[in-house]
Amino acid sequence: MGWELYVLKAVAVLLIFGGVLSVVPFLVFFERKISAFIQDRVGPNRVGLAGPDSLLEAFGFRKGTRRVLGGWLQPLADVIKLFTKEALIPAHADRPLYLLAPLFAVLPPLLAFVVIPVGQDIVVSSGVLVKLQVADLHVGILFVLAVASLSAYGLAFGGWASNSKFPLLGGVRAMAQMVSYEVGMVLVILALVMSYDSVSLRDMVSRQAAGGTLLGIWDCDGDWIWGWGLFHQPLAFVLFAICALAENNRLPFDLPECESELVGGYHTEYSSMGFGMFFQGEYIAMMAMGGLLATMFLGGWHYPGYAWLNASDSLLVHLLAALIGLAVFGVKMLGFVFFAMWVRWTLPRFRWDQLMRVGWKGIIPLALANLVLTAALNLPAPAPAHEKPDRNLTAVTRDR
Amino acid sequence: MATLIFWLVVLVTVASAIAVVTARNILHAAFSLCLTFLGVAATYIFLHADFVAAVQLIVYVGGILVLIMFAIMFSSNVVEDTAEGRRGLLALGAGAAGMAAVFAAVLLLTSRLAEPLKTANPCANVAYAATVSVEAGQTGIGHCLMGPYLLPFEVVSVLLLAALIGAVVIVRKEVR
Repeated sequence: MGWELYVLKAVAVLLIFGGVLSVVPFLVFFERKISAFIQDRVGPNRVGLAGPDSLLEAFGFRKGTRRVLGGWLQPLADVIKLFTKEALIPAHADRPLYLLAPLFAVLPPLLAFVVIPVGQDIVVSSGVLVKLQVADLHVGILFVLAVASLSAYGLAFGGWASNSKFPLLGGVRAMAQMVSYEVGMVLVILALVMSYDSVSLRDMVSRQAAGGTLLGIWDCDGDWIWGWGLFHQPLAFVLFAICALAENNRLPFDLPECESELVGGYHTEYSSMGFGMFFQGEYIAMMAMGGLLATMFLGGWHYPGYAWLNASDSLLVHLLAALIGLAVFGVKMLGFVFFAMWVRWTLPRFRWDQLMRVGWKGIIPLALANLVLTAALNLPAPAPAHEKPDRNLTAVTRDR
Repeated sequence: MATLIFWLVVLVTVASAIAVVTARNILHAAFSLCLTFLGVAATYIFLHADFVAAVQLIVYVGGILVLIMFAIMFSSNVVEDTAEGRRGLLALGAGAAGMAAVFAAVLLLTSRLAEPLKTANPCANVAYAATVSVEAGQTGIGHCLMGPYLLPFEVVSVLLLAALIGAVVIVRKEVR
């Protein structure tokens, strides 16, 4: 192994981390806009840009000109505000843990992105492969679960280190919620692993585009959407979406934050980028869950016509197919994020005991039933009839 | 480069493990324990045991440490360390750890598992492990658990069930 590999990997990691991090402020802006739309308000519409005139206007020098893209610079303003605010550390806080906790909120969801594939390998020339995934781990989905279990520590340590009542309660809630909902999530994923016959995320995606027999009765074409996990594991899809909301501490499961009871929950005592990192962590985790959902249930980067485009010999067409695939993956991922926002501004919050009941008496039994059903009926994902995918083939050949 | 990362991981693991036993604040100890678990998982990855590494994180970090944190957070007066005879306890722990280390060293140096360790390069075991296919390891574990070791596996799960029921019985309030 030479230095080049490390440099390449480092660049790939930086690219994906940078890409994810730069989307976050816009997600915050969209959240505000969507909440405004749902509540019949206008939302942020001031900080914008429309040529030199409006630049002046944006900084308050002129009034009365027409605003184009009003509000679109709001994310920038938010970021500047968070960065320049004074970072207060409460006198009674446990300094080292107080400072480390936000890191634990941001890093795990970012790490999850390392294994999520965003596109098929591109053969640039013979022997030169560009993988649209930082690391194709054999344990793919297990890795995601492992890092997901880390993310609750940020909230718990942050809550405890603040040394104040409300954050502590928020931290304890985060832990309890994580434990209850992770069990359900693992059971849901187990059923998927059984039906896809693999724990590698890349295998899962290519399996969904393989085509074959759906639910053992209906022949379907892999190039259309019927091979997607959504159709052969519909219950798992719904359960996973619910668990994903709970894992992300989003409404109606945002008990650790719960501003109506706990002021701000675990981040009550944080200001400036300490708070900013918790905030970022939440949105990154949402995107990571969206990416996982897209990978496991929505065919990853596949879209109708993908195989047709890829059948061409031209490298340019392949690149185009991959590019559209990337965009499609982004749309699927952000689709879940939109769903999460939509739910947040629509449903009220669960009470603590209701949350636990939903987790332990609703999701876990259903997920177990789904698992047992999948095992008993041995319903694999659609695959070409009488032909199990050969494990020795590389992802490239299997995908074609 | 791999060697460098390996030693970095070793450093973090050992340092945080020492911090677990020496930290005066019990939550700092819990935090260090989290780092230790992460370091051990990284060591598994260096041994090309990806599956074991992931399971290590899911079970220890995602399960056991969470329960420890629960216990700590719900009992407010255990946070600050007031233990008397702390030095004696530390000595006792150090003695036990030393004995375990000697035992492990003897075991390693006399068994054939240690062959790759005896070469000068500490990363030689990485090269050795690389000869074993990762995926084969993963499916191998599955086959072993469902094949020759099915009975022990089931017995262990019964034991865990018994522990679970025991915990429920202890915690349960008397209802008449």
